[in-house]
Amino acid sequence: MNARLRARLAFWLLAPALLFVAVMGAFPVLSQFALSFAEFNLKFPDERGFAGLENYGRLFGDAVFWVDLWHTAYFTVVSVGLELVLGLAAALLLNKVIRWRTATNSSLIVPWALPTVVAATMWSLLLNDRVGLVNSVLERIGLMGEPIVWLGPKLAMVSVIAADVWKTTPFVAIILLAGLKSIPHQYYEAAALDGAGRWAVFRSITLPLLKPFIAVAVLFRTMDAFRIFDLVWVLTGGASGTETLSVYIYRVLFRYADLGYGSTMTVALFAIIFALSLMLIRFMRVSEEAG
Amino acid sequence: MKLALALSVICLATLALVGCSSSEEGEIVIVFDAGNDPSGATDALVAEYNEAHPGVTVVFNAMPANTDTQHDSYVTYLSARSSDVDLYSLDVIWTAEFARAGWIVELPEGFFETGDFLDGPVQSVTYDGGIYAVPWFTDAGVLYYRKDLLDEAGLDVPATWDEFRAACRTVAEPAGLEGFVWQGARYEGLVCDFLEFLWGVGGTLDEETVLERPAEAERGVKAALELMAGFIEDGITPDGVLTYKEEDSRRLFTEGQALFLRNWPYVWSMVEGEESKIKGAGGIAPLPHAEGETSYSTIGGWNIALSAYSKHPDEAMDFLRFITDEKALELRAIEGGYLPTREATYSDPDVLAANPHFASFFEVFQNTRTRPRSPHYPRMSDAIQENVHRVLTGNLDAETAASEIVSRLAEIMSE
Repeated sequence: MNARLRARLAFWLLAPALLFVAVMGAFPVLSQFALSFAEFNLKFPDERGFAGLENYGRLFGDAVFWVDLWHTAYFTVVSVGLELVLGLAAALLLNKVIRWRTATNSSLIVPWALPTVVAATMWSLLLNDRVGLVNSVLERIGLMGEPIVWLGPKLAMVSVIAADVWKTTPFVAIILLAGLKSIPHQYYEAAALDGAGRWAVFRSITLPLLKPFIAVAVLFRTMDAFRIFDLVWVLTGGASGTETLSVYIYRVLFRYADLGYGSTMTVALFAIIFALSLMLIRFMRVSEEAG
Repeated sequence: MKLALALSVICLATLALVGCSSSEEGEIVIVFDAGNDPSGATDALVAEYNEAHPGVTVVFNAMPANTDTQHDSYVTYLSARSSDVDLYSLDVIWTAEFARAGWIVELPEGFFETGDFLDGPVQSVTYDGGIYAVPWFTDAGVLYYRKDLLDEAGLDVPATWDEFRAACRTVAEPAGLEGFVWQGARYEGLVCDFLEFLWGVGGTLDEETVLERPAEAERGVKAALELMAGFIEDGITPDGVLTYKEEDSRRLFTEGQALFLRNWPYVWSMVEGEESKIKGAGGIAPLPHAEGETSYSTIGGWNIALSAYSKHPDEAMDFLRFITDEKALELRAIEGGYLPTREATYSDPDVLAANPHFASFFEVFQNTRTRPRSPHYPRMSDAIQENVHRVLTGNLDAETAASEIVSRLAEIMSE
């Protein structure tokens, strides 16, 4: 069988699978897009119909949406920033580990490997103001007077960010570790010969060569952080200024069964994340050329 | 290569066979979803029914305790027209919503004798003139207090908020106890607590007042919010209350760390239970009110409805009759302390022997009110929850919150 015929055969054999993926992937996205222009509430079956741009108009006037967007953006910037710094530090340290490498790398992954809901439930128990381990320990070592309400109005966002950083720093660390390992030894040897100090080495060799890896980590983490749901839902239910867009969308879709407006918000969230990702990619490219 | 292929085919075939569940011939399965019953009474009743009805198997599916979680799960199943569940235990506030959506079946005329049941619960299963569920057990907010400490200080149970605050200052503070714990987390329970504070200061959020006299409604709401925020500011209520649901607040009380607790009747069996540090030291009373006003409790409770998508409505309705008849309610009252919805059960000697405090509950039940009954209730609840919680966390002033709540409710009510 010649190459051309083989290629044709391959295509036709793959076609059913490709069709399946296209339907499963494209259909929900397209139907969501279509629903965003409709009035469609499952609880009011007789009040359905085309609504044009009405839902989008409602979105602009929806104060809760914009406030939650702010919460989401704040959460994303702070947690991704912290994850980057801590992840880089962890990667640099791990790079130096020679003995027990498998053990240390594996234990690093544990938070990342835990299902988010499990991790969130664990954290909500740890942070309980009366029976949680954190307050117990603080009280015992004498650092705490009144029980600290970690998931209350003052510290809720801090706790959510802390739980997220704990969980996803390993992801960043692993990517950056791979990056560090890919830097050729010769550069470091040459720098040593030239008598360069540690900070100079870091700034001129490590960091620039890590840039593409940092960019990938930041891109993935930003997209994920912007969509965060389960951590917030389990820890606070969205109270005390931690409600993110996904939590609000969940409420509208599942609690009010308002599929029309819920779809509109989903489309808006998608547009925001898409735009953010494009900006990040562009920034990566520009800095690559400049660097 | 060939061996691997053969092995994988065999594995897949086996999986397929195992996957196809074989149900016994002619066996009808009725699935009943309801909140968990730790007393085991419901399991016992289901087992009894299954024994008496060969050919029908009732499965009791215990749902998570959080009412909102149950709500959202049921909305998901019913939106998908799932016939996986035949009978749903519904919170009293969901009847209008589920009936309007066509998810539950209007019960046939005379399915049960409404006169046998308490008024409040019967109201809660009625929508648009039809009856859509059978009342199963009822609930109302109650004040629990440390009888031993109040007796020691020579104080009566406070009837007004002023007396209440005085009691907290003179009894709780010196003893190092928290004064008053309740449910202040941002969830449905907060609405129940809030409404009790609102009604106790003479306020109201009924449709007529909200739509025709909004300023009056706002005044009441503002007073209630100031009362609640005042408890936290004055240190009578710990900050943690803002994250407490029923069990968190209950725990503080049964651990002996609080003087007063607002909670549901179920707590009584825990106060007198094995693990309670205050066994024999607790008491029940209606909630306090403002001078010159009356106390009202928010009515809660659960009703059982038949899914519109059930494949076995007749068998399901037969079980429904069984699980809501006198004997079933008596067993649940004796074993689990669940307040029956049938009036006669309150005079049953066995029930009273196991629950002498039902007499006190009956007193509370004389003055109960329902939350707004509307298919749009979740949105109303969320509007109240958000604004009340923000006032309690100090992020919003009472006046703005009051006007926000009243205007959002007016908007929803006029739809």
